[in-house]
Amino acid sequence: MSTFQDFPIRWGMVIDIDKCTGCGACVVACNKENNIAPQENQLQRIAGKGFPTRFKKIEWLTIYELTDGSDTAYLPRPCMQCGMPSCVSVCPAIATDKNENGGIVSQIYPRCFGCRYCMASCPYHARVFNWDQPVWPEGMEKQLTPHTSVRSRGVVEKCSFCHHRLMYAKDAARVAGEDPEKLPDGAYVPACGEVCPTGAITFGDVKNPEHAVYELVRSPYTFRLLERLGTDPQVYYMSKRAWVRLQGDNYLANEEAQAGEGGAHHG
Amino acid sequence: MNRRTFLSFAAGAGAGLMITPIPWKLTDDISIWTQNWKWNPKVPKRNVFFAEMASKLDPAGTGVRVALVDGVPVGLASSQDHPLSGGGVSALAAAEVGLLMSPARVRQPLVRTEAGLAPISWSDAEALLAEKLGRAEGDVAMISGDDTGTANEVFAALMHRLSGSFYMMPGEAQSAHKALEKLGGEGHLAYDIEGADYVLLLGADALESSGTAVRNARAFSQSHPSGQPATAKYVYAGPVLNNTAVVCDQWIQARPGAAASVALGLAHALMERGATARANGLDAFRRDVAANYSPARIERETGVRADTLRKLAAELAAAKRPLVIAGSEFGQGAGARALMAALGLNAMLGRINVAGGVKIVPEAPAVVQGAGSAASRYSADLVPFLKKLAEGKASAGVLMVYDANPAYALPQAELMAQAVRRAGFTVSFSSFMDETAELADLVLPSSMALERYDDVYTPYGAGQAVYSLNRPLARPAFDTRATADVLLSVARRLDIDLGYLAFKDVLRAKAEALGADWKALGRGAVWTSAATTELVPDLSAAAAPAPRAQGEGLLALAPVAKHNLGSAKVALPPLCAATVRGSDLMVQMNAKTARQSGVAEGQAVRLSGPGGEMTARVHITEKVMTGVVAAPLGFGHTAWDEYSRGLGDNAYKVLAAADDPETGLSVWSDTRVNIATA
Repeated sequence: MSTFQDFPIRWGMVIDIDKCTGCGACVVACNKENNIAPQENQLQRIAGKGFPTRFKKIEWLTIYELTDGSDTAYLPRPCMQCGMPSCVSVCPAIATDKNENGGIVSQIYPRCFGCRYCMASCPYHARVFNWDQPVWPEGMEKQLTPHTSVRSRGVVEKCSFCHHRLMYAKDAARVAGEDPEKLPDGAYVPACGEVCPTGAITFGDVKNPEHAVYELVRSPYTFRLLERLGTDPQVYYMSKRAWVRLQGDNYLANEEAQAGEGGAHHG
Repeated sequence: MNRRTFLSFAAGAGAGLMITPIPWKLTDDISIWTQNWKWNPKVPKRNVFFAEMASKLDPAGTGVRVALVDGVPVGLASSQDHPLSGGGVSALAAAEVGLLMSPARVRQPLVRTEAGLAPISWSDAEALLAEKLGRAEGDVAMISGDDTGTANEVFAALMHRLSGSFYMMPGEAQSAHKALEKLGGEGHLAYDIEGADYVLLLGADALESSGTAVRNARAFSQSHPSGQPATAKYVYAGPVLNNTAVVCDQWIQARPGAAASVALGLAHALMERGATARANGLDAFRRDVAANYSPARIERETGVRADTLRKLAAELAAAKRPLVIAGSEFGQGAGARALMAALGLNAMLGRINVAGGVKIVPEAPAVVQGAGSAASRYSADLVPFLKKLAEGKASAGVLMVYDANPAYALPQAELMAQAVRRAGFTVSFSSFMDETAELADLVLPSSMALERYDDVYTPYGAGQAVYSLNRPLARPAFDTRATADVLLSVARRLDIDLGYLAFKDVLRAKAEALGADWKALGRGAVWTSAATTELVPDLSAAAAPAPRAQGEGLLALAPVAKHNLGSAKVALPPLCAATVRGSDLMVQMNAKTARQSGVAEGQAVRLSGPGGEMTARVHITEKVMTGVVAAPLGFGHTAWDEYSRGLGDNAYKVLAAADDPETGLSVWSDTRVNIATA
């Protein structure tokens, strides 16, 4: 069991589900930024009736559709960057760790030998395994970004909160003669949060009162996924709709009324 | 040799072989060579530079910052200062960079030979086109799908000089121009959505596929601060809980194509409350509304309950700055009626020419002689022309198609493909091998927006006049050229002087005519103007009875457009492939409709409508109102690439357009279909 490490900075993402249209711009931006190859086979699998594509699709950010039978909501799910990450404690190769100020859970591809124990332990299905070598259509490999290395067949990968953007923001702060550990609000935002047309994704240091997320995580409408497992995610969700909040965790019938009122929030 | 010696020899050979390295080496080689995977491509290790551009693929004209490494576009970021993006990027604009190297791109000019399409040089291709145009003078037609570019002026002027006809692909911009024309105005219909405190969307999918969707989404976001009370109310009326409705404060279920009726029903309810308008032809409007659009009748025809309608009218009347935006649920086929009715309703609410209401942005001055006004370029109705062409009742010696895919993305798609085949000589200027290009006799690939000079002037629905210039950010990846330049060169071969040698000069003239700074535009600055044209609408025709639904089926068809799945111009981009959900490919209906139709979840069905048939599996969801079947647009491609081809079926095939002689614009937003198990 990993022990809780309290960092002075806690990079957090707040996703307002009531503002998410499910348009997919975040997924497209993430794929481009992080050099995720387009997968034609995956489409064939979807069309090919009944293939279990869920865990074969390479996607760092997945948009889930929630419904209570009449209403609908969309829930984008990146890696939760848990405060108590279950993946870290099980990794035999220390390929994934949580050891940097800010609390982003790392994934070091050259160390990973593909045992997929982390995938089994992650309650959010945030990790994906490369069953195959990534293949780009001819010429498209010239358009790779310099930000993220290409992952080989046989390794696990996941969302990094666009960690390279944190590095760039720190570099920019150093060049400007500012403290790289005191980035202003908006200096570091992952690709998904930057492009979101409805501004459903807010990003920042949840411990810094000058960042917008500081207030948002303290809202009575804020909740986290499967909070009662004790994983302490750094991704927060907001919804004014009680049924959406209720779907964030597994509740017994006698707990639902209390849980639906909100208030399950942490700083 | 006896048995004993044979066995001894065999055992000896076996043991001998085992002590040599041969079996181990072979095993090792097998394990290596069966797992000899390709090397991973290496990522570049250079600095990233950013340059601004306006998306030409996204009809919302979103501004994006393109990330370039060594002159190669590798990624994108949001453009905070662009008035049409405000920091947001749509899925379509986000995918535009990745489409540069799409397998579907046409890599060089192609000409049809007996063996199929074969490469041809640009100079031979231009000579061939000039010859064909010269011979077919008076019998040429051109279709353009570019709603925002000055390139249309070059095309229209060339058609004018060749006595040909010029058509725009039908869409919201055409509906808006036609509606304004019918109401006695001219210019661009603009919605000041940021200034509104109550936004009623009638059919218009304003946060996803309608108008300046990204800007609208930002306005929605500003008025709905997370965790705080909203400062504006957004209401969506339509048949499907689409990407817009899902975040709106209220979803009112209304049958497909009901926008005009609901708007006029609301006008009726407002008239009951004593509302009036500053408009001409008010008496005729009042008479028509009173006679044909009573709330009880609206309930029967559209499914919107009379008391809901009255409540909505009361909310609109009580709001300080209400705004009504109407349109087709899928961005085309609304005709002019929906927008005329919505303008009538906005006039009743006193929301024309005011902040937070409807404004008219003046047309940009034309710079190519003979191009005519924007309204005149939108005046011809494409669908009836193509129908006649397919049936042999009209002719086109040369048919040129730019930035559009009429063989796929129009009602009765199969008939439209037939029309393209029937044309004497079809020229496609598509960047991609789309359905129309596959049928063409000559394919002259256009460079993509990243590779050419182009511009964007005030897309439909923008709140003010906006002008952005795109300059080539990357060298063309293939042997492609900007179509406007190609046609300027072909015009010279025909001894037609359009007044310019290069399209860049046309754009410079446009910038000067607008009073914009060419150099600043080149650096990515956006020219804006708050100038508006006063409109006192003539409402006499705004409430005239509209054409009936097409088809005799029991269910109403609601096509759904989602920009991550592509658009009328572009098939599912490779980068968007991951965003396709299984249910996206299915036709959707609610449990009650499924029960009434006798179909179950996952069942394969055939939808037959007035235009044709499509097959799909059924997904049951309460996101669709009773009596309606929702069908996704963007699938069923037969051309393009492995990412989009052969995936699902094309819902455009089922639609059929109804003539509307009074407005001169066909309508296909209200189609009835039958459903049967396939």
